[in-house]
Amino acid sequence: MPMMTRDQYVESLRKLNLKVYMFGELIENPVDHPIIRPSMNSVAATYELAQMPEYEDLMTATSSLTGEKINRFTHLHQSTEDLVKKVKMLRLMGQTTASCFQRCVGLDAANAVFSTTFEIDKAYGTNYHQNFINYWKYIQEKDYTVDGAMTDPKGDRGLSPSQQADPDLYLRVVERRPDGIVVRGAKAHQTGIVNSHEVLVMPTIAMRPEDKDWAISFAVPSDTEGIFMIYGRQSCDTRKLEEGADIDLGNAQFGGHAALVIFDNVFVPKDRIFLDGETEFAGMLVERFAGYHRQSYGGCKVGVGDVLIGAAALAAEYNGVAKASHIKDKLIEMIHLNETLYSCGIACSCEGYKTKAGNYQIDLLLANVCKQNVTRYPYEITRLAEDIAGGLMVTMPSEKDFKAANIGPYIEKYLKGVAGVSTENRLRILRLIENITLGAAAVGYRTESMHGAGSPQAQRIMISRQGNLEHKKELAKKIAGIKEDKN
Amino acid sequence: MKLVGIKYCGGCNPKYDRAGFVQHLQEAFYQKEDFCHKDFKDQNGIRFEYAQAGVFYDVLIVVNGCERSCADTGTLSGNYFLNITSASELESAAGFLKNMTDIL
Repeated sequence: MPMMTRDQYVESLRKLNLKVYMFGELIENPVDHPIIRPSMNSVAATYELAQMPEYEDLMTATSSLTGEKINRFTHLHQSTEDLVKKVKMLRLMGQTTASCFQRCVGLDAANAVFSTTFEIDKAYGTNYHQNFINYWKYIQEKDYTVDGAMTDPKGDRGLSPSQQADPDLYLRVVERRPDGIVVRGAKAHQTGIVNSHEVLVMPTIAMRPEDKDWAISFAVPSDTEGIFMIYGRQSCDTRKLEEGADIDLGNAQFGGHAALVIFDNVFVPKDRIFLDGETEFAGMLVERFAGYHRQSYGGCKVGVGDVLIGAAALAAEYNGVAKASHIKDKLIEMIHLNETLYSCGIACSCEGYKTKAGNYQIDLLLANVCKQNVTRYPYEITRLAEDIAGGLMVTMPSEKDFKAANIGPYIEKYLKGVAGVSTENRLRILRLIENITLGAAAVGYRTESMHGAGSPQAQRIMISRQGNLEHKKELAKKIAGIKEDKN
Repeated sequence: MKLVGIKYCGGCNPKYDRAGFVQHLQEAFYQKEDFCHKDFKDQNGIRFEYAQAGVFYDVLIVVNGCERSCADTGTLSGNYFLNITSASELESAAGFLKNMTDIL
């Protein structure tokens, strides 16, 4: 099967035996659960758009492993052009779903594991790279969605994995067998895990020799025995359970999700292991994955930003203030901020380089600058969107009130905006702004922008390391005519 | 019968409706009752199809969403490449195709 259709993807998920808990109960059918379904629709869109001629130039690529046409979400980047196309694809997906579409994390993990395993094998004579190639060929052929799992719960952040009071606070190897290993621990904030066929696990921080059992990377099917997921709550999530909910959802079709994933003594076969105890490579893997994922945000958040800017512009029109100069200026500012993020995503892609393994890595400094901006600009964009939308966005009555025979006409009358635009459409656009700025999609657009792919300080550390400050000092000395022998 | 290949860019931030452009372009050749955007068919001596590698086209219409013109045409071949970057090129594109197919 070269590429799955949307329907094939949905059916493939039904065949999984996932253990997903929500509100204290095991979910019998995650695919059709009203809270989960919108997030599944977002991933399904990555399959749907790949089948459409209008988008295939971005959504598909030629596999470097098989020569087959594949979904770009499973591609190992072969050039800087591939890196650029990835950012553009993510922007397109953000525009299409106005949500986190979840599939980039597996793509980023794959590219990081591919290049790192090559270098581990060179140093240790291990077979991890071939293991990964075999695994990733399988993923490309099946066109599977893979959850890239990095973030451990971490317990006391001041202590290393081996120093934690509870050693399971970082996922670790608890048993080594001739045919594989048994792991225990958890991964937090797992975007898209419930919609994924596989989970590709990586360590979460650089490690020391004593952290050997925690320096582990592997992949298993997401319904492997011992794995279960506890679904993360989102703002306004239970609105999706309301009968006939539509307007009040803001975005009825798409969404995102994250979950806490428990690995309760999970067996990993030997050929699915990509790092096991080579502690000095944990940092390389983390840095490369984080770099790719920080690049990703220069695409996906921009696409969601496009929708939010459009919604703010429509709200201004529906409110009758579109011609006000301060409104125009705020929209310009939103576009400026959004395109700045995109510029960073494109820049770190254009400045990418070939790894020893042959795939392409982004420029780390520029990717970290990109993500650092992402921790700030979406907040300003949402602030401006709320400013333009007005307070009605959070005070307007519910959809049920609007549709009620006795009070609906009053809402229709008193919440009417400009002539030629229905009250319902005005409410719809305000609910979309609510959804992105403080509703379910704000998880992806705001807090994920802050902490996803690493919190702000993680980028500042990388910017400090990559910033080449010594060169800048030399430049200044030269211009100023400073001679060291005169000190 | 002239074979016309349609190739789109990826559509990351298009400045116009690219699929709509192609639809309008076809309308210049198809009778309304015969028109079918998704399933192309022969009409008036011309056949549209989504461009694919290994096929030689009389005309390749490369529908880019903006001036960046990033559609990947590396594997495509044809006599004429018509590069579209805005909706305003509809009339000239239709005219070009009509001349090509001697319909006028």
